[in-house]
Amino acid sequence: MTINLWLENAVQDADRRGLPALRPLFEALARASSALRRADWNPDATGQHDPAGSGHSGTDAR
Amino acid sequence: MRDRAHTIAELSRALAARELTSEQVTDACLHAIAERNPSLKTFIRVLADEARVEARQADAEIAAGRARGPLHGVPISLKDLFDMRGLPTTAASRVREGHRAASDATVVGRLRTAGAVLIGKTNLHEFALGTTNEDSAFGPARHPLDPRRSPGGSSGGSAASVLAGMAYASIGSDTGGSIRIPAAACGLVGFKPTLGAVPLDGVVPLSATMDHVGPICRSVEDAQILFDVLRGLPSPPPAPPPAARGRRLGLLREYFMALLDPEVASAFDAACARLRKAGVELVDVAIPHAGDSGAIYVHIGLSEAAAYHAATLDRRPDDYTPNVRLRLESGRYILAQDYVRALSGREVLRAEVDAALGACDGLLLSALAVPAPMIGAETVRIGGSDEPVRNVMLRLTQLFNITGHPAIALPCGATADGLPVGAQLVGPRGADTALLALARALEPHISPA
Repeated sequence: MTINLWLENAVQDADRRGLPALRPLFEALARASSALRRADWNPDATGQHDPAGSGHSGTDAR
Repeated sequence: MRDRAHTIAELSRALAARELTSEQVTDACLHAIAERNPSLKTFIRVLADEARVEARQADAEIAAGRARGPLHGVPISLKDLFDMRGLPTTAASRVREGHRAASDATVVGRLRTAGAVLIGKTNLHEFALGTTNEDSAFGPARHPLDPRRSPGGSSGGSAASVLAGMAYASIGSDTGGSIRIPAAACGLVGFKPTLGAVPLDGVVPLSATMDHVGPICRSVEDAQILFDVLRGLPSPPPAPPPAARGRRLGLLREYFMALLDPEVASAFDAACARLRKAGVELVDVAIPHAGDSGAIYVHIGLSEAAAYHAATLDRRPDDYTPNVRLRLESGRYILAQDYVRALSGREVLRAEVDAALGACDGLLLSALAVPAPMIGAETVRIGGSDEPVRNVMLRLTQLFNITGHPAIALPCGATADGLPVGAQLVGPRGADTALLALARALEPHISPA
């Protein structure tokens, strides 16, 4: 799901739930999610731009 | 009378020498609470009768030669996020109405065993989800030096209780800076240990992978005393502070200095100059992805908080304060793929902080980018632009909640208006005692007399 589509859906759902005040929080979250998705550590399923190489990175997410 | 014992270490010596009694200092703390708590809203619950009983028991045991250690007979406050058997743990929320804790949190039990006098439970930002203490079912806690201002948060009542002489130290929690931020705003020492070093059972959670427990107090020596008790180890005998000369610190620039109030920057620069003069070497080090820490933090923190609160948000949404409810609701919309990206980012940041520490004894940076903000302010003006208060206050601390490295805030000066400014030292994961020893060596130079 693209960030724009996520934002649109989230705002619509919050309006439906009577929580229109969520819109500015969603907009801030959308900016943060965009930054996360642009980050250079993200893997690439094509294997051509994957910083960790193919396969499991061996990192510990605890 | 309390001027004779400024710190826990000093009070412990005075109690052992029978120059003071625990009952005397407990009464002095209770007097300060009675005088200022109605306006500062520092405490949610004062345990006056219980504290007097504990103080008299401590005095009797010390007189009988059964002193338990440096916390014996010392008045301590607790953020109202910690379970105390038989009492409500409010988390500063109406959501918790009717709660009674069935048992003590592990850290509360350890404080009792050490003989601490538990004087009361302090105000906080509701469920610890905020940096100012404004959103509390009990009203905002206020700064003892200027009640128009926030003492910081979320452990704001804890810091205010120490600054106002209502307790010798307080136990807080820190998920994005909630010990270090109020410590910096109030001119105190605040220590966030390594992730997992202090048990969390019996503590109301905020973020399952970023919550930490630690002390807010008046000196690094006191932080070591409290840390030893919280982690369940005996305190070593008192020792003089180690030498500062020859220490090597990694100075964090770029992201960490890009958004500092000018008076905060000036106080921090002056502390750096004092350290250099004392023979401490400061070398520039970098955390290349530090600029991503805000995005990583919000995805992990809000997702985990929303998971904890989801059922209650559905059942009793109006019992949350409006701002906290909205923040929690926003976390329910975060996509799993973005949460997983944030977890990957955590590993990147953890490796970068580890690498930066590889070349030095510790990292040095400011603890809080602005002085204590005015209550009600949504933005602060820095460098010609208006920045959201919450983002600015979390900016320098949240990284080390993401990575789990131990970090300590200690005072490094004041603004022209007398508002405290704090510096922060960060050490390797698991090296809490080494970080505290480093902080003790540097404290006379970082913290001006």
